[in-house]
This record gives sequence, C-alpha cells and structure tokens, in this order.
Amino acid sequence: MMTLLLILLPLLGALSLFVMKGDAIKKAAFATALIPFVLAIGAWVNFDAAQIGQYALNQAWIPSLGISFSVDMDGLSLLLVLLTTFLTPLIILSTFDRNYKNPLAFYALILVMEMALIGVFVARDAFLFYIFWELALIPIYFISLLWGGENARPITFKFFLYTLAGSLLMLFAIIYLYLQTPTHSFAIDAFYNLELPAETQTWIFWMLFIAFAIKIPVFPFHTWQPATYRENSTSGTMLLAGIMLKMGLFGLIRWLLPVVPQGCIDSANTVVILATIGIVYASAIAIVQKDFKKLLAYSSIAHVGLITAGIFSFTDNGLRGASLQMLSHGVNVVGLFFVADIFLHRTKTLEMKELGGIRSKAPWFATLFMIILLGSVALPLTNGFVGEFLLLIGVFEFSDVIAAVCGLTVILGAVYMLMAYQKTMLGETSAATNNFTDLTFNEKAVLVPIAIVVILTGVYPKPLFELIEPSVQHILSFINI
Amino acid sequence: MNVLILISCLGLLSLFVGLSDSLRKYSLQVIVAGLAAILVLNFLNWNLENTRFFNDMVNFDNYAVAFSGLILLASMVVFLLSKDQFSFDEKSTGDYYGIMVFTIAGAIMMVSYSNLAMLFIGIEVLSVSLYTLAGSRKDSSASNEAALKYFILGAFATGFLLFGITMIYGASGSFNLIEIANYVNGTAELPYLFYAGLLMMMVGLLFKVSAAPFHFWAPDVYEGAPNIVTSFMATVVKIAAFAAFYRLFSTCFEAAAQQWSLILSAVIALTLIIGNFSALAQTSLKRLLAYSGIANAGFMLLSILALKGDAASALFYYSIAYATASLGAFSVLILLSEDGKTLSIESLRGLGKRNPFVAVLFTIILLSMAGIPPTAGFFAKYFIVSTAISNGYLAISLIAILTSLVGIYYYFKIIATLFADPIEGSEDHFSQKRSYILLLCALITIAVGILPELIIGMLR
Repeated sequence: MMTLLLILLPLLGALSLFVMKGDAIKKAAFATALIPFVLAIGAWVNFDAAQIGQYALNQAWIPSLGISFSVDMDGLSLLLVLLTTFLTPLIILSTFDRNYKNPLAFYALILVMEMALIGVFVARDAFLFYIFWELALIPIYFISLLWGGENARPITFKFFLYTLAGSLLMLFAIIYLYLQTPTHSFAIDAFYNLELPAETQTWIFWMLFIAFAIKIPVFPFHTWQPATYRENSTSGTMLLAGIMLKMGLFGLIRWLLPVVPQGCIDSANTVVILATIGIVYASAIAIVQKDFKKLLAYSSIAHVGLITAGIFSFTDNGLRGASLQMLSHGVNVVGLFFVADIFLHRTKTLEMKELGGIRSKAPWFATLFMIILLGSVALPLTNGFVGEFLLLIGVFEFSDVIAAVCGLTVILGAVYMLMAYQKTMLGETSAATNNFTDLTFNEKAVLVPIAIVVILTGVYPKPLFELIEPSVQHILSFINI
Repeated sequence: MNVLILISCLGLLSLFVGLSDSLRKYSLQVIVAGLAAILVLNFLNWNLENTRFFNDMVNFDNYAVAFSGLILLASMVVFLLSKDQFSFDEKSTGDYYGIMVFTIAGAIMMVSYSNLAMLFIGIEVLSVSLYTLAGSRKDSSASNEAALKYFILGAFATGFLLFGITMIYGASGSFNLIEIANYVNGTAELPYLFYAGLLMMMVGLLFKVSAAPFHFWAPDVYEGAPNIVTSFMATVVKIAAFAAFYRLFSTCFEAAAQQWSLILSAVIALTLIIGNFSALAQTSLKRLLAYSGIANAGFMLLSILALKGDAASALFYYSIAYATASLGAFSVLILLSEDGKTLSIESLRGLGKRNPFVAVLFTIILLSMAGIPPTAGFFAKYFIVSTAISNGYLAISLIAILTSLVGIYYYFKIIATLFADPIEGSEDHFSQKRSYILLLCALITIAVGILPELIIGMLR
C-alpha cells in the first residue's frame, strides 16, 4: 500500500496543479513533492530487512498474459526512492527564483516524471518495469524540447531516439525471457529462476546491457550525453543526471546480474574495460573544458563509469559502493548543476575564464559550493569518499591493474574540479562577476540540505549500509554459484 | 446473418432518404441510429450455438461478431465525422452515404465468410463501392486520378484473387473453407496447382491490405480521395481485409505454412522498411498517414505469420488500437484542413499555443501510433510481436521492433512541430464542434491501453 501511494501521490499532485493559477502552481508542486519524501522517510524508519515483501503489493493486471501490477521495496529500491523523493522537491525549489514559461505544464511533467521513476525502482514485474521505464522518457522529452536551449530540438531527438533504441532491444529481450519462463510469467522471481544456456545468456546480456548502458551512459554509448546536459534547462539536466541515469545502474543490478549471471560473468572483462576507458577518456576531456556545465557532464560520465566497473566486480564491496555512490552522485550532481545555474543566472555565462573572484562577493555560495565539490571529489568524511573507496576496493578485487587506473582518475577528478573552483571562485573579480550577489533564501534552501546530506552520509553511512546490505547479498547469491 | 440483411436494408433506406430534399438533412441521423441498432443486434450473436447460415456460406462465430462490431463502431465514428464533408455535391449526399453503407455490408461479408465465393463477393461489394467513393469529387483531378488508379490496380488484384480461388478449387474440389482445410490437412503431398493458387490469393489479399511491394496505389489514392473517404479506407476497409486474410490462412492453410511463411516474412520485412522509411520524407499529413498505414500493415501481417496461439486476439487488439488512433488522426485532419487543400505538417506548427486542447489530444493519438506506453498502440505492438516470437519468428520480430524506431522518429517530429513556436499570423480553420470525436479516441486509446484484458479475453 505504501509503495502504491508513493507511485500515485506525484500523479495526483500533477493533476491537482490544473486547478491552480499563477504563483500557487509552484508552491503546490513543491508541497506535493514533499509528501512522498515524508512517506519514504517513514518507510525507511519502519523498514525491516528480515521481513520479505514488507511493502509488497501484488495485483493481477493482465492475468491471461502473466502480467501483474507487482511492486515492492527492498533496501535497494528504498534507497533510490529516497533519492528520487529527496531530489524532486529540491529540483522544484531550485526553479522558484526563475521564471519558466508555461509553469503548469512544466511542474506537471516533473511530477509525472517522479511517478515514473519511482515506478521503475519499485517494479517487481518485468512488463511493469518496462512500462515505467518508457513512461519516464515522455516527460523528459517534453522538458528537454520545450524548456531547453536554442538547439534543443535536434539534440533532444538524438537523445530520445538513442534511449528508445536501447529500450526496444530491452523489450525484445524481456519478451524472449518471458517466453522461457515455465509458467509464462513476467514476475521477477520467475526471471531470477531461469537457467538459460550460456550462449542465450550472452546475447540476452548484450541486449539488456546496451539498453542500460545508453541510459547510464557507459562509453561508447555516451555521445548523446554532453550536448543533452548542456542544452537542457537546469531542471531537465538535474532530472537526467541526478535521477534518470540511476535507472540504468539500477537496471544492471536488479534486472541484469541475477537474470543472466553466466552472461554477466562471461562479459565482465569487456564491460569493465569499456567502463575504465570511459573514466579515463571523460576525465581527460573534463580537464580541458572551458564551459562549467560541460565539465560537469563529462565528470558525470567518469563517475558513473566507476560505478559500472564496481557493479561488474561482482563483489560485496563493489555493489555496496555502487549503491551508495548512486545516492551520493545524484545528490552531488544536482547540487553542482544548481551551482552552474546560479552562475548562468547571475552572470549570463558558463565560460569559466570569464568568472572569478566570486568567493569574496558571495561567501555563503562559496562555502556551500566547496562542500558539494569536496563530496564530488571524494574527500574523506564526505559522501563521495565512502562510495568511491568501496568501489575501488571492489574493482581491486576484480583486477589490480584496472583499479590502479581508476584510482589515478580519482586524482584527475580532484584536479579538474578544484581547478574549476579556483577559476570561478578565487582570484580577481571580472566584469561578469563584479555585481555577483549572494544566495537568496530559496537558493540556500536548495543547497543547504544537499550540503548537509553530503557531510552526514560521509560521517555516518552506517544506516545506509544496513539498508542495502540484504539486497546486495541477495543479488550476489545469484552470481557466485 | 441478420446483421448482413439489416445493413443492406439500411443502405437502401439511405438511398431513399437521399431522394427527397426535405428528408435528406436527416440522412446522417438515420444512418447513425441504424448502425447503433445493428451494433447492438450484432452482439446478441455472441456465443451463438449454430453459427452457420445460408447453406454454410457465412459463419458468424465470435471472430466474425467481434470484427463486425469493430467495423460497425468505426463506421459510426466515420459517419459522425462526415457531417458537411460531402458539401461539394449536396444533392448526392444520400448516394454517397448509401454507397458507404454498402461498403460496410461488403466488409461484414469479408469477416464472416466460410466459402471462397462469399469472400469474393464481399471483396467485390466493398471494392466497387470504394472505387466510386474515391472518385466522388468529380471536379477534382486528384480525386479522379485516385479512383482510376484504384480501380485499375484493384481490378488486377481481383483477377489474381479469382485465379487463385479457381486453382484452389481445382486442387481441392471445393469452395468451402472447412473442406479445403480437410483437403490440406489430409493430403501428404499437395500439388503445384494448389501452391500456385495459394500464392495468387496471397497476392490479391496483400494488395488489398496495401503491403509492399503491392502498396504503390495507397499513397496516391489516400491523398486524392476526399478526407472522409480516406479515413474510411484506412480504418474500416483495412480491418476487414485483414480479418478476411487471417480467417482464410488460419482456417485453411496452416498445414502448408512451411511453404508460404518465408514469402510472407519477406513481404513483412519489406512492408515495414518501405512504409516507415517512406513516411520519413513526407510533408503532407495525409500522405504520412498513408505510409504509416503501410507500416502498420506490416505489423498486422505478423499476426498472420504467427497464426497460432493468441494471433487472433492480437490482430483484433491491434485493429482496435490502429482504428482508434487513425480515426483520431483523421479527425484532426478533417478539423484542420481547408476544403480541398492538403494539410502540411508544417502548418501544425504552434497548434500547442493556439489550441492546447486539440494539441494534447493529438499528442496522445500520436504516442499511440508510435507505440509508447501506456497507450493502446504500445500494447498492440507488444502483443503481436510477443505472439510472433512465441511462434519462433525471432528475426522478423526484431526487424519489426527496430523499424518502429523510425516510426517513433516521424511521429515525434510531428509532436515537436505541434509545440514549436508558432509562425506570426498563422491561424487554424477550426470548428470546435467536432473535437469531441478526437477526445473520444484519445480516451479509448488510454483506457484500452491500461486495461487490455477487456479485449484480449474476447477471442481466446
């Protein structure tokens, strides 16, 4: 019931906006986005890992084809639901000082998006999973198209077709898997219990992997990403980078590893090497970026590359690190894109060399930016450190050489992020930054919670580990046979 | 059976109503009311004990009842859209309506036949009426061209069909479907005569459903015929042709599937590729719908290839989804196009600003055509592909899925155009009155998409 509420509330919220007018729309959108967050916190507090199917709801939907509306939250789902419900109100709040045209449609789309994302994370039926997966694409298509920059149209099309191509491959694989289940069922347990021959597993693996890899994106499927992040409105980028790419990572863990374990083991080397190439490549490009938003886009590719490599180490550390880093990356990247938005809004530019000296003008901004940045470069006692450290251990257990390469790029990450900070915040003020004002109340309301989460997760990650540990063990029990 | 008699009577009635000047303005009401009554009667035939009538010429089993119901329903929507659409020839309105009703009679024969002679009569009743309708705009050269093209090519296809029927008769000694089926199942080595007949019937039917490489008539005929006739052809006629196709192949030719499945697979691949890629280049909405109709035909043919299992339900569900979306799209076309002019996709630019209500509804229709959940179009495509895969047709299913990506591209290009910034000074020729049909189609699309169980249980 709790899970169903979490799915339905954002949808009801989106519908309720249609009776609002003017400024009330923003506020109502924010308020309706807060309710699911409170619910999710409640679900976390009451969560009992020993009790299987605690939040389960299983309702026959198309019984003649073995399709059911089956949802549940285990630790991993709950973690990502927490991420989604935490970030959505912040993303809405981040628009309060900006005037987006046609606010009704804009906020309604964000809320529909939230519903679809929660649906993806809680679905326990492959058909339902696919429906939500596709459904999440529609609002972001319109957000990118209608509220994006001048070149939004071709870029949105590239992104959209790229992702859909992956989805269609996934659909084919899902139908095939469904037909292999003895009772013709889409239930996740039926998929987990499949024992397919190794060759079948390999091609199923690649079909599913490409679908997820495009979403994440893993090198070489990343080409849509930088331009899409750059051209999108800030809210669109936040949704994409903060939450939507987690769909791909989540898909790897939930719908790939346990379903075709042999296929995963056979292809792990290829995937880890691709991910590592992606990390090095993206970090190298990020260093030479002049545009702050593009720098964030490439650094995001590097971060998710490490998460992918960690998942394919098939170790306890790798998977725990991946889960935690999904949360941390989402929180940090939303914070950083908001920082970019503040630059753009105040100075009308994202060129880092035109900025500078902001720290003396805006101490609040400088401090909060620093905290989030440190989280992103994985300084100890911030959220990024916990995840990346475990991920590196996981990758090390898989291959020490690759771990060494990945470790080097963490240093590169620190280099370009700190350089960016130096260029934008320190030094002399420029023409663009002379009149830089400090954060408004609404802007603080976005960045302060993010900074708190950055530090809190870094200092005391234990509750989160307790949350995800049983799920990780469950997934691993399929792969280490 | 009663349905067939009543629909013919309704056709005669509408001719008489059209005769007098004072009665003519009621002809639309008379026909819609008549169709509604026949629709109700039709469903009284559900689960009939004895389904065979007229010396086993027709067989009103549940398959026939379901498809007749869909045809009647779609026809009602077309008639509701047709108000003022024949204004170029006010005096003959009754004739056009009468001919349309006769087309429906032909369509119902095509879904309920159990004898090849009846199939042929049904196809001819339907086709001859359509040739006339396509040319109903006598002063327009495009309309005349459409009629002539359709007639000449259609006559060829009919010839093929008839040739095929006689050859099958020559081999099996019967026109009756059951007896042909018995012959096919009971003969170890079928003669070449039979295969030649099968192939020829297939060509004739593929022409009627506008599958590649027999599709060349469709875009020109669709474009040239009056809007209302095109919407009629794209929905009612197409569904009837598919229902007839499936009925023939599933009853008679299943045992010979090995011989024809490869040919049909090639046709499907060609249809999907040609339909989708040609649609990419279209600038006129009507022509785009014609090509998307061809692409959809490729999908529907998959159910004939699959033949077993849920194929009939899949075809039926797809027909519903396709008819609803097409009627929605055509209602937009009819709402927005000026009399006698083609409506370019570019002229839809900014509709989202000028009329958000219509734009959003049209978006739902386009999402369904593109096959995006939770609309009916998604489940229809899913169901048909899944049936094909379960019968072992993996490669062709993959082609179907991947070419639908091309479809998604052009449908979403229209959506992007709808919501792009309008050009200064553009406005729509608009009658708000009939957008209720668009609303109805959009609602059905979503309802059927979320609750497919309502439909797929019918033909199991």
